[in-house]
Parts: sequence; C-alpha cells; structure tokens
Amino acid sequence: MDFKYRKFPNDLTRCPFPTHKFALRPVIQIDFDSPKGSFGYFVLIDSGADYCIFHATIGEQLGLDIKKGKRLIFYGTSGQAQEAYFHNILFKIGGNNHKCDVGFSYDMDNLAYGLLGQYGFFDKWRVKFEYDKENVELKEVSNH
Amino acid sequence: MKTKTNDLTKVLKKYSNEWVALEPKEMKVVASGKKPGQVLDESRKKGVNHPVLTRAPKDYGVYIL
Repeated sequence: MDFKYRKFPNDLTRCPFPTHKFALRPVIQIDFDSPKGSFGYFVLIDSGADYCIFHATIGEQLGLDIKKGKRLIFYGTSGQAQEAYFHNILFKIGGNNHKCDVGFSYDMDNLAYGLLGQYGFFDKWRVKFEYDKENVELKEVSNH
Repeated sequence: MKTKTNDLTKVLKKYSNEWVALEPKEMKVVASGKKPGQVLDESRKKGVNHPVLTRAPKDYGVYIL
C-alpha cells in the first residue's frame, strides 16, 4: 500500500530555514470503529518511537478506561518523563484490520498526531520511506 | 501522485491548541473544539459520519522525536 506524505504548517518565526514553509511528514490516516460511530485519526510513522502512542482522549472516544491499562513511563528528546497506559485495540490501516498494544497518554497535547512505533507497527509492517517521492510504502509482514 | 488533499498547510494554520475534524475526501475542516468527542458530535450533526481527527498544536514547531 502506498500513502502520500502530508504537508503541515511550519512556524517560520521558530525555524532557521526561511524556505521551509511547511513540514513534510509520513502521516497517515488510521480508522476506528467506536460505540458512538467510526472516525479517522492521523498518525505519524515514527521509527524513533519504541511503541505506538496515541492521545488519551482518543482512547476515551473508543470507550477505554485509560488508567486501567498497563502503565509506561517514556521519554522524548526533552528528557521529561511522560506516562502512557497500554490497551490492546483494533484499528484499520488502509482498510486492513490491525490489532496491537497502544499506549494512551495525556501528556501529548502539543503533538498533532499519534505515533506508530517499533512494537505494534514496524514489527507488523515493512516500511519504505521515499521522501523524494513524498511516498511511504507499507507491506504487511507475513509471519507476525 | 501529489494531491491537494495532502497539503494541510492552509487548512490547519488558523487553528491552535484544539482538535480539528476534517471531511475525509476533501480534507476540509468540519468542526473544531477542545475535546474530540465534541468535535466528532458536531461533525456528525453536519452530516460527516466518518470525520478524520487531528490535533492542532498550540505552536506549529518543528518535530524532533
């Protein structure tokens, strides 16, 4: 499956590269079915993330009792400790069912998307990043 | 193939520190607000039954994750 990179706003007052008017990122749409209806959610394919982490408020929409999940303490580049609670959930990637453990965090309000990380995503999908073509190709790993 | 729907630069720029629901084909904003549930409800009331949620952060900074 092929997905296109997406362009997002970039605040040039905070960036040293005046030509970088947007950020080009491998952000894809995933889809949930919830008791209240279905919806999509943007997630960043992030090879630097050990786990998949979504906004806790998204988990609440799925009917999850967030803090009943298994607790993880994780760190971003700031070095500040953040919390997530893991639940095994089902969602769709390009129409394909995908079940994995996802950590839901209340500490990521300044992040626009969920993160698809190594465990739960890269272990199930072979990922080819083609920045020059603004394309990311996913192939399901057959023996996961 | 590059499509305009992949360019969310203009669409999202005016939103800050809130959730935004997009119409899934045109990627136009249907609703925005502080809570995803509120934004989803508003979208469905407007006839968009499968909106796409994203968060507009307070600042559109650069990510180093």
